[in-house]
Amino acid sequence: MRVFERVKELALIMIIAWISMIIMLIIIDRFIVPITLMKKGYMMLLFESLLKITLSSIIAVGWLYLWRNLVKRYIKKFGGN
Amino acid sequence: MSMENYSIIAEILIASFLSTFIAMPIIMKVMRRLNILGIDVHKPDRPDVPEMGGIGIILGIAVGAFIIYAWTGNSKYLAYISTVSFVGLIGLIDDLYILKAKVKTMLTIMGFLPLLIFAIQYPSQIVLGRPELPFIGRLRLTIIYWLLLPFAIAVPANAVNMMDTYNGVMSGSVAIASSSLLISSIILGRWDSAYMSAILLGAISAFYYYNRYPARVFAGDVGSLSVGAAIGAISVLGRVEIIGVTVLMPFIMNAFHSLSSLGGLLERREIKERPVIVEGGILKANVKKGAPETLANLLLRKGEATELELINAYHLLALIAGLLGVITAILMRVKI
Repeated sequence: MRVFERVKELALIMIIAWISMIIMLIIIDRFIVPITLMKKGYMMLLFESLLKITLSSIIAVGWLYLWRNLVKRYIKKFGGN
Repeated sequence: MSMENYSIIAEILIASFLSTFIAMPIIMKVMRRLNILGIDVHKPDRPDVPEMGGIGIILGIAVGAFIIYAWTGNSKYLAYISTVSFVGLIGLIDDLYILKAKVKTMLTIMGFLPLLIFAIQYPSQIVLGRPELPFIGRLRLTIIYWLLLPFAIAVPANAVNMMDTYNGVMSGSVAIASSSLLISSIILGRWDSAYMSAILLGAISAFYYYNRYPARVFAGDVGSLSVGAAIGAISVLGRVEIIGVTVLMPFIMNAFHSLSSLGGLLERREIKERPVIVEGGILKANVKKGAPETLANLLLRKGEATELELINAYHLLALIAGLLGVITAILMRVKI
């Protein structure tokens, strides 16, 4: 089997993971980082930071889930458990 | 200035290459004499191969880093070699005494401390934070960046360590990754990260000469952990974090999917099923439940292969990731 034949699907998964990683970081920077709560104070600042971290983590987990799911499909296609 | 930079790159690349290249035969001889040997399990005759050749890589990186520090006086290069040596020491202990996977990971997390100490000590020379992304420029990640910093050394170190499974896979893939980092840094005009990448490229290329199929030496954890730490340090100190992640994608893919299939961190000696079955020099994917879904396991699901065919497949994936790294650098020059 030619080397390219062997790697092409995994290379495609890698490229999808790369593109989605850049999109994910742009979304975090443009939509999550600017979130500001109306009320001010130490507790609200802490809550604001926690909210940003939680939302960013949810998006990051979603990205990892997409990557894992693509590999699971690959395994299903090419013989797996 | 530019020609001067290129000549510095060439000089430190040659210096680190020669240091590793000359040191390797001596290290191999010493390891054989001390009976520090590993078995090449993918060969039909299972030969004994000297281990811990990674010491030669650290030596090459140290020579290159000290030369560039002597020329520039920039503490960034001391932070670089301190991080590599610190993580290399953890690898050395692991090679000699076998640490549990969780202990090794916890220790490598501390690998960011040399960076942090140097950054605090020399704030005018070492600036951390705000990674740059294609199209939008520097990210406004302040809290998240510092939360992720401890993993900036540990993740690449352990990911590279997990892919050091076949002759020349780790060294060849890291040589491709460091070439990509070097080209990307030149495109972006980041000469400090270009110098650090050139140092790594020189040392790892010399090591690849001895480690390529059929291997005459293994890197050991001292080599794979320190080389991974070097890529992490280049990414953070040179502020090319996104390119660092991109060039490491095959390594991350290997680590992430094998860990998620195993359900957690396990030392390779603790894993019951092997990812690959070897029969008379031919490699086949182990499709049994519980076998780690490593990159080798995934690549072999498309059909059996010889070790050399598998190694070439790994290198092709590393090359594609390297190209993505260069594309990332080009896109970083585009602002919308």
